[in-house]
Amino acid sequence: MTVIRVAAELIRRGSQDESYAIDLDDAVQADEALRIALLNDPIEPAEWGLLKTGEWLWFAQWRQEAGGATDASLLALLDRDLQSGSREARYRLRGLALQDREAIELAPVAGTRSIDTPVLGWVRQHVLEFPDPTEVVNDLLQYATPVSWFGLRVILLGQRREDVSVLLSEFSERRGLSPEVRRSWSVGDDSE
Amino acid sequence: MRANESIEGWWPIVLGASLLPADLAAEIEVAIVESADSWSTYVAGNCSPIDGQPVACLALKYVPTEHALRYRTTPNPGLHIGENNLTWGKGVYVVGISEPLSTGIYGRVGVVSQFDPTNLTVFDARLPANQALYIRWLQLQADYPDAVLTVHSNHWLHRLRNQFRVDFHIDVVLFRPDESDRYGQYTNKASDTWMVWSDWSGPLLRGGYSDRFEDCRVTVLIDEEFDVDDPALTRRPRLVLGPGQGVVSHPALGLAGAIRHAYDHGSYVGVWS
Repeated sequence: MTVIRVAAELIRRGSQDESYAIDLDDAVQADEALRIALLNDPIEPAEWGLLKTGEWLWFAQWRQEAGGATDASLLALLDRDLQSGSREARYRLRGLALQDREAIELAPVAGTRSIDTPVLGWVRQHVLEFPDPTEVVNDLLQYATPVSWFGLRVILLGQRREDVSVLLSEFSERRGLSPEVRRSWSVGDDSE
Repeated sequence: MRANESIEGWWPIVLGASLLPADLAAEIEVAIVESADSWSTYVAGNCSPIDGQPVACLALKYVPTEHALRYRTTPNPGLHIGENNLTWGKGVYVVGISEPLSTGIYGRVGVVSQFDPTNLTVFDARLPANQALYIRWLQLQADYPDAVLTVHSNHWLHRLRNQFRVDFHIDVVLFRPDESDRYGQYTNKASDTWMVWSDWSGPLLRGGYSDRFEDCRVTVLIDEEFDVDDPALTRRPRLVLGPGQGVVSHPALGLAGAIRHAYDHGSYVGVWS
């Protein structure tokens, strides 16, 4: 039995009620092996049916805040399910990738390539394919991490570059952003 | 520690403050610097020596009885970090010992703990000028239009308060109560101070148990118990009796002093209603 299957009921309840979230924290504090497994074990597609979309989203955030890894297959699942979800839920979903530790470390050197990190790969695909580029750009700017700049660089090399360039110019001019800040997402020679 | 300094090699990775107009970012920085004076005043009212021992700064958090057992003995895991959908977002919500009943509406059991008031970045959101700064910041966020115009605005706006605290690495926010008991006998919304504390994972807010509060112990037991009114802006006392502040053994100390004394001696103060 996988650790997710064991913890599913607590995750389900914790996503709805803080009292149960405390129980989940107590459980992982009392069992180091459980903690490590919950924070780092890959989530198998066979487990996806154990929780609902909102419960997975809550668990993924819990895991990230506890220092765990972002699971790229879970990102893909949530991405698929939240296409028709609330705008707020998609904001939270993107935060999982944009605040992922490994992705943050690698994004500055990644240029616009996803290298071999699954999370940057997900970001790359998502920013190119999500139907509404304005929504994506706003969330990238909202989180403002190095992964955000990675995502903007990817868009600026794609077919949406003209529209996105206009968005970024308006955003920057309204705030009087310095050239140094704007260079964070400018496309250099390291691109594809 | 200020926003551009290094935090465990992680900073700066959240660069939201750099996306603000320079004048607004500077004004928020000034507000944070000036909040240090408010913090010093607040701390002075909540820190004093215990029976000749070194100065101890004491905080109070009321919890339901179902969560109180863990604080009967030490060591214990400490105070739990609250979820996102609270007034100023994710964090530990406490009050200073000087306003000992202010958050009694949240549970019958008062857990007293010690906190270190030094080296903190504080934002005094009690001040209207600082509230206005926050609103200016909010309205300039890239996601602001969607946050106010789509479903679940309430949740999203709380998360943006998290973002504000992250962008300026704010350790403590001071604010006025936004809930009270129905008859105003426990909480004074005009003058009490509540605070939320941040626990960090690198530059990001984290959940779980807080590292900010030490030696957390059950010290206050309130007779009264409250139900959430609809809408949840007030809480109705079940027994409908005011706080009698039943400190029999040390009347000269006042309630805050009695709680401090009880904490130091590992005993309890009953607040009968």
